[in-house]
Amino acid sequence: MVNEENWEPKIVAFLCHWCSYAGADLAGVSRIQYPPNIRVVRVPCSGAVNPLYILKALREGADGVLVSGCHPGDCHYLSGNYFARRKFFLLKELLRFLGIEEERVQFSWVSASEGQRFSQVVQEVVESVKRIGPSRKNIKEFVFHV
Amino acid sequence: MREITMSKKWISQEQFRKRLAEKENHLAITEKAQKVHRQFLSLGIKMVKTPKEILFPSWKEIYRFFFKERSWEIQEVEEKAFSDPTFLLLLPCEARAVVEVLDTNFLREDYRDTDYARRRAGLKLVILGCPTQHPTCFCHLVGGSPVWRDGKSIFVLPWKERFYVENDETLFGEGYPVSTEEEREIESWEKALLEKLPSPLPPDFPEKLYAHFEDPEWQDIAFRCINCGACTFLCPTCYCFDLTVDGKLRGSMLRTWDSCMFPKFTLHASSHNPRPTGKERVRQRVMHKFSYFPLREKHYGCVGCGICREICPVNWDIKEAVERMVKRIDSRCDIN
Amino acid sequence: MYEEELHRLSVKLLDEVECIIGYTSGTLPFRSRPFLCRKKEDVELLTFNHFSGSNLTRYLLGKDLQKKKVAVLAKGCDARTITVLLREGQIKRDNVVVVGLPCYGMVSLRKLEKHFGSLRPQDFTWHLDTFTFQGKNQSIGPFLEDTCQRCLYPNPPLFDYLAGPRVEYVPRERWKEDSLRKLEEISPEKRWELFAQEFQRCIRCYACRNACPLCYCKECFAEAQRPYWLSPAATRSENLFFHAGRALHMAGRCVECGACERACPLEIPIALLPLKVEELIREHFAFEAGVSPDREPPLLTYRENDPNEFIK
Repeated sequence: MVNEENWEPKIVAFLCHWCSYAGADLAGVSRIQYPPNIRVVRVPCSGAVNPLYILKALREGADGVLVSGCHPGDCHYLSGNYFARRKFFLLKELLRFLGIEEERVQFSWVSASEGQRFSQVVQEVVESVKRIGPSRKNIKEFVFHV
Repeated sequence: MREITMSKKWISQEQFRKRLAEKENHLAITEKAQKVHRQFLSLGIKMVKTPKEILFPSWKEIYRFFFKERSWEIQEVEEKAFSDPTFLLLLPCEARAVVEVLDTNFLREDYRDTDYARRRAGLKLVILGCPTQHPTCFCHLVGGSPVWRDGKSIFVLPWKERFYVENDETLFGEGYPVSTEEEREIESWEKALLEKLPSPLPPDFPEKLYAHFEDPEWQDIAFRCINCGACTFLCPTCYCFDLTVDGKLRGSMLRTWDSCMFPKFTLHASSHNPRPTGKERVRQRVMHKFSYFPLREKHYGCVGCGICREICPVNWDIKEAVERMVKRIDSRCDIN
Repeated sequence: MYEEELHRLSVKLLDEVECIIGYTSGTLPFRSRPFLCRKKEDVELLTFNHFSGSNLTRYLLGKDLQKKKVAVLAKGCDARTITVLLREGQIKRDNVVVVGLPCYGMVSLRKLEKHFGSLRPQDFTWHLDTFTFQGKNQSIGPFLEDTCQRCLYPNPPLFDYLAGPRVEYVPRERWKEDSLRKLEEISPEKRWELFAQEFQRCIRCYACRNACPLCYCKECFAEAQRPYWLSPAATRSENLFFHAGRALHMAGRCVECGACERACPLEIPIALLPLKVEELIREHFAFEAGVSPDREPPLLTYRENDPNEFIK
């Protein structure tokens, strides 16, 4: 569908409000440059991210999904990210088992003070998705462009 | 003046195989036909589960819509070039499903489904007469037979070492003429075959079944059904579909197969559901095929292929259900 | 398998319960089907053989049977389902009498057909872990369903009565066939090719979901309109979404009974996804569904040293 040379990946980023979203905000305020390929969805906690959201993002045409939360032990809701860790592990391994590229769905722990680090994470994610090309396996068959 | 007799000819084994190999890309065969005619397995013809895969595919984008500059735009979906097979090899029961049920539904006098009409016009049915009955078959019960044909499609009957072919101008080429003696031999074989078949359902069965709507037997009959959609999706006559809007500001209208066995099939917008449990839905399936449809269209909505019985995960059996209702009707129990 | 004992037990049970959910022979060769036995005269119709593959605990969730006291015949895996259902509050222990069936495994008709060609029931005599075909004795191992070849619980861990002698071996250790391991040994691209082909074939009939006793949601995510996750279209990517989503919903709950795979009318090896998730849970979270009723389900708990390397 989008097979031009200057294809830019679209990455949906689920960021937890208390840590990663604040970290992204800090990166913005500090004028740290990072690739504009991510579209941010703010969630209260990484534990609130239903694995189905990730599959839905891929279905609608996201080339990559990033989910980022607080570091283990620092969750605003105490244990949300611990539960999230187990869910994400299962999702990642299941997708790998199915043969979906590992770079499509990535996770990170980024705290509110790690603005620089957030931009680095985004850089890595965008580069890795660029390397594997546009999403073909998960995208719905009746997507079209106007 | 054109003669209205059907063309008949003999085709040898080698010519049969040769012509099928030549037309490879234009052929398809149904799975049941391949099971009954095991010798065709080696021909490697593309297999479809039901004729519906070609005539009425399981999903289709009807149109696309998007919101642009404060108004909605509708876009037609370009039909891909018709690359579907032009000849479908199938059994008499499946052919009856196409001609008597699917055609009746999609090619009505008041409305012709354009997509179905186009696909149907581009498809020629090749009916393969059944030499033996499969354990799942019960076509005789619903007015069919192992050698049914509609007079318009090609008909092939394996006969001793050759194939007896009716009504073919395009597929098998020149054959050997059929002598009157041979014709009579085949006719008498067919007649004997039809006489040996068990009798069909009594002619007033659709009406009598209608009167047994509230029969408590339905609760028992419906017990093991798990309400999936396997039977309806693989049934050659089932034609129900659903329309789904996929997307919000940009998306498509999809037509997909729907199943009366799904709980949401009759869910009203008010949240009332007239068929809330499995019993109502199972009853509906049997009543539609053996009562409502035949009362309206004069032939059964079931062709007796038995595919549903074979693939049902719990071996729920529509033939058994019908026979149980026949017994209930015969025992003349008064429900009211 | 030990049908006489089963009949004797069932006759006694009918004094205690309103009905017995069991198996009986089907209307087609080799088939077995769920059967509701209410009268003592019908007890003779109860069977249990190598084709009794349905997970009968599914019928315990029906509204009309929930209020009555019923007995259910449960193989090893099915009895595990009961533990999970009890834990999730879907059935009441007092209303259910569990008749445990030590199980030697379910035979796959597809594998039999592949090996022997067209099948006739009269050519086969079935014993426990062997069968006789036209006079020759054979082991059932190579012909068992994939889920049964890797089974770890042939004996029910939960039962009120045991209808037969225990199975003395663990099938996974004896048959040494693991369809999951085989798949993990091939490259991810090859795996994708295989899965893509299977997802392309799936018609979204939901036989797998409906055959599973643990899929009891009033409205499945696959059919929901609010929120709208996926369309009913049976395309490769939609089917991938559905099956991956269902496997994740079964995480920590799937008892590896294989009823989903046996239900599939297109013979798609659909159990591979929930089986993979259960193996991951077994390996990394040390949990097996339906075995220890007091253990916390894996997604409701955590450990400090859970796998973390995949997170940046």
